[in-house]
Amino acid sequence: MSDNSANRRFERESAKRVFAAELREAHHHFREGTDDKSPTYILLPTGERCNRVFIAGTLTEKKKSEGEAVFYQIRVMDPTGIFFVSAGSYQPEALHQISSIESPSYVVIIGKPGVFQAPDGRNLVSVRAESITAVDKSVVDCWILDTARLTLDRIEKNTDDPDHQKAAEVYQRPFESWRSKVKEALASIQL
Amino acid sequence: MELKEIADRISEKFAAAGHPIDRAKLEEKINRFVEEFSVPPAEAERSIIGDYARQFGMELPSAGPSKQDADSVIPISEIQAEQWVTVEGQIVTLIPSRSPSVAQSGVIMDSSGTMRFTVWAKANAPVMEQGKWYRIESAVADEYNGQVSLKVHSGTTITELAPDSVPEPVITPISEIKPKQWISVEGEVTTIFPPRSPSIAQSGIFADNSGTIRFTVWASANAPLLEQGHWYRLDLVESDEFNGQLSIKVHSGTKITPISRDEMPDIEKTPVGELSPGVALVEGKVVAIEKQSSDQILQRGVFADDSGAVRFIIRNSPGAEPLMENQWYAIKGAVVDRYRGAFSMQINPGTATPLLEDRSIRPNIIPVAQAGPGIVCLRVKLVQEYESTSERIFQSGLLGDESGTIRFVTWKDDMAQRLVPDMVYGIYYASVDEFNGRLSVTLNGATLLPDEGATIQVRSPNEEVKGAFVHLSPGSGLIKRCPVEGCGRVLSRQNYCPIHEIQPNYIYDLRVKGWLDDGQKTYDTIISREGVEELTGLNLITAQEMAENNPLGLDTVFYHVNEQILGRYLICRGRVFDNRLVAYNCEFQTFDAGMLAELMNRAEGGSHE
Repeated sequence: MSDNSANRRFERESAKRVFAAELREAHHHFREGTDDKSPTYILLPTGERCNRVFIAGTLTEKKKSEGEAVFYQIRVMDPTGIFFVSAGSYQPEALHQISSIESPSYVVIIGKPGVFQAPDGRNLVSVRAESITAVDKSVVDCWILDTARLTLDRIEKNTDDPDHQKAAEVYQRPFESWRSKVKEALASIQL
Repeated sequence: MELKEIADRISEKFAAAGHPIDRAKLEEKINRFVEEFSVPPAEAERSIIGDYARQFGMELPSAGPSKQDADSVIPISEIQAEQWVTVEGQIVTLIPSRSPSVAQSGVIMDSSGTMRFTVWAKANAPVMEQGKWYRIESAVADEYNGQVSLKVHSGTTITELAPDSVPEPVITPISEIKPKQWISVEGEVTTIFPPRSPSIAQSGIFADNSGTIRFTVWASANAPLLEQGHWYRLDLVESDEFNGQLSIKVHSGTKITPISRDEMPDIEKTPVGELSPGVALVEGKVVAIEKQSSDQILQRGVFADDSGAVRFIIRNSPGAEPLMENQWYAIKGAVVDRYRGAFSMQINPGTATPLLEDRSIRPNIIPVAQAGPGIVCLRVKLVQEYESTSERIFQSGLLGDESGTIRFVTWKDDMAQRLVPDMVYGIYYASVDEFNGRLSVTLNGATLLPDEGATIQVRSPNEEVKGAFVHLSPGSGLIKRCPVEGCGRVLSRQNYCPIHEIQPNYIYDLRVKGWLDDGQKTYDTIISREGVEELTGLNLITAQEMAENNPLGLDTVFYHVNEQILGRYLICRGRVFDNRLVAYNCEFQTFDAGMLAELMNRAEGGSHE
């Protein structure tokens, strides 16, 4: 990094809104720059890099690790699928919050996604929670609208954006095919 | 009832393992998942079994995927992986087999959609022909890379459908084309691009009155050459998408039928304000002509009627003639396109007919807040003038009306006219462009009429940011400020001001510092006391009481605020500089049913704007 980096204003990565069905298909990850502290990203199948996510849904299962270090694994369900979320001692805020949330509850989570290789060779996307909050159903519904809008924006993005091109190359799946997941999610909202 | 069955299954399972479960508790649990939280029953069952299994220290058996049989014909679009299905469809393309174990592969289509299929050599199936319709019974759908395809194996029966049971092809309006369809279209070849590759015979733009689309004719199609300005019907073209742009492909299976002038579908007259991409018939007046800008372009200007205005362009092609300013014309077959969010209308040779009468025209004046890229008429006053940042700028600043404000710029030229502060102007046929997500109106070429004596109350240029509150930073909640006049800095825990040192007679204040995130951009946000009060219901007094009556002191207020706003959707109004937001007025976003309807429509439609 250059010397004036300390003077540059800190820009926080925006938290991407993504449905479970899309996040679980993501497997391409990369690092921007060569520095140890350079951010890592995963590439969403609809063509946007993502270093942080904002997700919501119903917490359906909560597992506490048996070992010495406290570690939680939770499942959070949105209308399209399941998010795998974890929090350990490096996420004290989330750890503290999870301990007092029971399943089932509506939650929103801010966290960093990572791609892991399961023993059978499959890729698993899991989100390391920075914070998790129990909320009303209406917040989850707002999130579904927000995520539907931003997912459609990504699907319809009509540019030479390098992330979009890379995603087309890596995932070999038409962007338009994600439209049905958006429809599914919107249809799940009960007025 | 299904829930009862789940309860039965779960209690039997654990009873068999020697762990009886309290039935009432179990049912209440299932109910809570399924009824209250709308968790699908299968996921609820999984989750509850997991909970009990962990409680009893049992290993979890993993469940296999369930199989479904189907004898009746299923629409192709509804096929899911891991299903046995029967379909009826047309073979729209055959792909040469790359493996001896595959007899045939290609794409099959019905009215609902298309799907790849593979016929295994071992299936000993009859050979299917491109373009013909078949019934395929008991094929297997499976999934690879998120794409479902159909496998024909030895248990599958294939029968050709009788011609009378084959549905008639339907013409798809261009605006309704979605990718990966095999369709029939009817329209005009409005543009032919120069040839680029030996594998492509022709490419260009195809339009009907609903929209425009790129087309490609493969060299392998051996198709007759399409001519610009002619109408055609194309049966069995494939739609495709690349980088969000749709196109149609003419291949060897496509049938091309020229349509003569008299068979051409009638196009209704479209008001200028309602134009959308495609071919249109419009009537209007040439209200402005721009200066010559390039060799390829004969003329540019603005075309208007009572409903609105649009930029037009005439290319320098053989037979092209310029239009006269202030003359009315009927344009038959104007090709409307969208460029940088604004519409533009291309007028081809021989399509413009002068109209004799000069009708009066009432420009359609719109509120600033409704202005988008394109040509607009506004009634505004000069709110603020910016210092010029470039030699080429004559004047720039902010215009406003009751609905909001918009930037403007006037470039230096001999016609440039300077606006006077606080004077109300009627601005006719100015063009609005978008730069970096910000609208800006260019006044060159527009007509500016001052309206002396008129006044306008301009809406304050408050900006609104909607987003999720994703992080609450330290220094939020109840804070202490330095009491020295004109300072007001936030004191440390030890009541230390970085300038005025220890200040025991501090002043309390409420604020929120943190990050508001709209999914694209993250705002370094400060919410002032008024905003915090609106969001949390706290005020200075109650917050102080809370801090004083609690061992955690000021931190209590911090946690209280955190609990109420973290992860919530907020609407914040205030001032934005780059990525900083100072908000004075905030509220929680509520569920917007109108937005739901709008998004449903948007999700339904193709990528055409």
